[in-house]
Order: sequence, then C-alpha cells, then structure tokens
Amino acid sequence: MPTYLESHRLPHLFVRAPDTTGPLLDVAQIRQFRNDLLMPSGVSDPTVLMINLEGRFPTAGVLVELIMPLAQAARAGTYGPLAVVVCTQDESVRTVVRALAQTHDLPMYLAPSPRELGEAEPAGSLTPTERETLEVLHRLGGRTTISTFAQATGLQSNAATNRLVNVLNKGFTQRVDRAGRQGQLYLDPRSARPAEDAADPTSGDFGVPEPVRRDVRALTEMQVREPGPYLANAWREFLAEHPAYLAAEHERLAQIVKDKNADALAEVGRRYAKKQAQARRGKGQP
Amino acid sequence: MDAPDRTHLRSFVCATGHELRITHRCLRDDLSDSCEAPFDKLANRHGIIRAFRRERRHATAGADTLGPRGGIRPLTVLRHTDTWRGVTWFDESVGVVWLCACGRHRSGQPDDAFPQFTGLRESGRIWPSDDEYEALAADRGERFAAFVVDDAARLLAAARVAPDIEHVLVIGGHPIAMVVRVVETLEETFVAFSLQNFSPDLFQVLLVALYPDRQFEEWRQEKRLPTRELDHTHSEFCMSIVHG
Repeated sequence: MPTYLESHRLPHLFVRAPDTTGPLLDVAQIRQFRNDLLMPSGVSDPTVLMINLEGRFPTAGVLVELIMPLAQAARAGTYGPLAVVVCTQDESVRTVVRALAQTHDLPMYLAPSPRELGEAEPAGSLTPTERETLEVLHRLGGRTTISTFAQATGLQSNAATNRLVNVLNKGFTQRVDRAGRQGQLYLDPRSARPAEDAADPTSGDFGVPEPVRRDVRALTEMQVREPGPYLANAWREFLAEHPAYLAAEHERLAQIVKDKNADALAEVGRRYAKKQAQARRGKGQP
Repeated sequence: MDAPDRTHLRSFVCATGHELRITHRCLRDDLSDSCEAPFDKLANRHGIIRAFRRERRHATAGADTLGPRGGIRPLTVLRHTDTWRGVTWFDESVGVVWLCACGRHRSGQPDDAFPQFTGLRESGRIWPSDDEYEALAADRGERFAAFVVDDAARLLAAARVAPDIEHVLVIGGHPIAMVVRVVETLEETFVAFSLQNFSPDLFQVLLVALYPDRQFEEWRQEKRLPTRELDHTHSEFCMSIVHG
C-alpha cells in the first residue's frame, strides 16, 4: 500500500516512441517494439504508458499491431494498473485510433503531444455521464477521493462511488488503496507525471538531489490537491526519508544566516517557486 | 503581534493579510513600464498605482463591477482623477488583488479605457499568466527569507518575555505561532505553522533563524503546542527544541 507521499507521485508516466521517424511500415518491427515496452510482470503501481507517434506515420496495419494488444491488455489488467495514451497530431491516425477504441471498446486516451497530456481526450466508448465523471475528475486535479467527488458534484456518497467505479471498470481511471481513513484515491491518467523529477536548469531546485526534488514535488502538489491532516503526515515522511540532506542543508543555511548573505537567502526562498506554480497549474487554478 | 503594511519586490503587502500586484501585461502595455520594477518605484511613477494602493489596501474589491455581470472572476473599477480608470480582481486562492488593466476614460472615444478592458477580458488576456504565479511564489519565498531572520528573533524575544502564552507573528505572509516554556533552568521553544504554503526550505530557514547554532537533529516534532491542539484542517505542524 503506498504511503502518503507515494500516492501523490502516482500515476507514473513513461513515454516511449518507435526508434524511427517518418513512415512506419514494418509490422514485425513494430511488434518487437511493442513486446519490449513492458516486462511480463507488468506494473504494480498505477502507470501511464504514452506511445509517442509525433513525426511518425504508421500504416493502419502497423497501428493495429501496436495499439490493439496494449489497449486490450490495459482493459484486462494483464500488466497491472496500466493506462495507454497515444500521442499524435496526425488527424488520420487519430481517426483510426478513435475507431479502434470505439469498435473494440478499448480504454485509450489521445494527446496531441507528450507535453499536452493534460489535454488528452478519452477515445473509447463512453456515455455522456461517464464523460462528465472524467471531466469532473480532471477538474479536481486528476485525483479524488469519493467524498471529494461527492462534494464537487453534489451527489450522495453511493452515487459518487458508482460514477467513479463505472469509469474505473471501463479502464479510463485508476485507483489506489490507501491506509486508514485516507480513503481510496481515484486517478485520472492525464495527471500522470514522470516517476523521476527531471533536472530543469531553469528551476531554482536544479542542484537539489533528485529524490528530494521528487518528494518536494509531491508535497507541493499535495498542498494544492489535498491540504489538511494528511499533508502533515506526508511532511513527517519527508523528514524521515531525507535526514542527511536536511541536516546538511540546515548547516549550509545556518552559515548563510550568520554571514548575513541576503542574496543567498533570497535564492533559497525562491528555490521551489517553479514547482509551486506548476502544482497550481496542474489543479487548473485560477 | 501586528505586522505593518510593507512594500516588498513586486508586491504591496497589506497589514490585513492580502497583497497588491500588477499584471505584466498591464505594466507593459498600459503603463509602458518594466515587469521587474518594484512596487514602490511603480507607485512613485504612476498615479493609478498610488490609487490602487490607497483603495485596495483595506478592501479587496471596489463597489462597481466591470459590466453588469461580475462573473466568476469579477473585475471591479478603480478610479484615479477624472480620467484614469483601472480594473482589479481579487484572486482569493492566493490572497492577491491584481491590477489587471488601466487606461484613460474618454467617453465615446475609440481609445476609451472601458471598451479596452472589455476586449481584454473577452480575449482572456486580462488575467495574470502562469509566469506571474511563478513570480508571485518566488517573491513570497524571497520575502519570507528576507524577513524571517529579524522577525523570528523578535517573536522569540516576545515569547521569552511572556512564557506559556502563545504569540503569533505573520512573517512574509505566514502566521508563525510560538510558545516558550521554562522548566527549572531549561527553556523549551515550540514553534507551529501551517504547511499549506510552506516549502521545506522556508521551514528550515525558520528553524535556523530561531537558533542558528543548533543542529537540525536537535529539533523534535510535536503533536501539540503546550497551549492547544494543532489545527489539523489547516495542516498545522509543530517543532520544539530545548535550550539552556
């Protein structure tokens, strides 16, 4: 069962693309690519596999060979809690993917590019109510408990549960079981983030070790998505997880304060501004 | 303990808790000024910004909305002299009143401010951008770091003078609660704060500002303040250290 911090790092996002760009004609080659995407053991945490077809133009046969088995496996849960997103701006590819999803009742999302996962459209067969459920979940920052969803929609708890379970059973959302009173968390695959927090030279936290950055990202997102008592629990986890980093940082900050180094202190204050703004944007505010 | 009105970087921080900022588009297009200019310099240069400070330091909105319908993000009118008009929006989620647009009001003229305001609202360009929220977060972090060294010492001094009583000081927008308890020759300091807008860096800067010579490991997590339970709905967190 994931901890407070872990549950806010889900779903994990993996972006994969065929090696070659341009026309994709070779069915055997694409089958090999698809087979290499996932280990037979699959995934244990909610995961989003994004197939990036930007700049690639598969034939209908290649597309079927690539997409169909993955989406069928996602629906059946063969590889665990896996969601599939196809990225392409090519309207004909989008049309074929939509048709495959509708005809075979496959849960898939279609995004214009890997950078626009949040804009992805659900491509399968969904009723207007199910589309509305996904829309509300998306508006809630891509994650919700039953009580939050019920509050947002004005539904009774049972009705809210039914709405969320319907889209879960169709494979369009994912669910995390959490300890105690935290309640199950329903996840929108469009809110997935890379498992690692990639180093960003334009961000103030560029020099911070990746595991710390990753956990600060989860804490920051939690501040926006789920403030309250669980946030304090997540901070306790953070303090317990990174004692050596925090001790060293404390020493460095003490020296900055003793030196009255205003510039260094200001830099410390600004360090996580980008993460805070990104978390806010993820929630769809303002 | 009260905090006075303060100008810091691109904000005017009001004693009542909210702050005033000007959108980049307004600075660039309406006032032909720099997006990086500090608030006090802008107030010296532009009368409409002085009016903004005067009219919105106590109230987060004006009486008149732009157009008959306020909408979910109501813009209210700001007046300066007979000709200058502005529109402001209070973003409650971050506690900021934004001056979103300003211009000269000349009824019936093609460059009248009000049609410009309406056009900007319809195009969505009137609202602060994502970059401005990042700049806001950066300025707030920097403000906390700038004020915490002096303010934390001031708070600690007040708590020592009157032990066993909770003292609260808003430092850079963050209310910090403190209780000092004296047991024989030992002094125990409890400090509590909401985690809702706190980053781990600010948390550590606060602890360092209180006791620069102590190690991080010497601080203990507490389940409550000596005077009360923590406010869990606001993600309040408490640390303590023994001194003496």
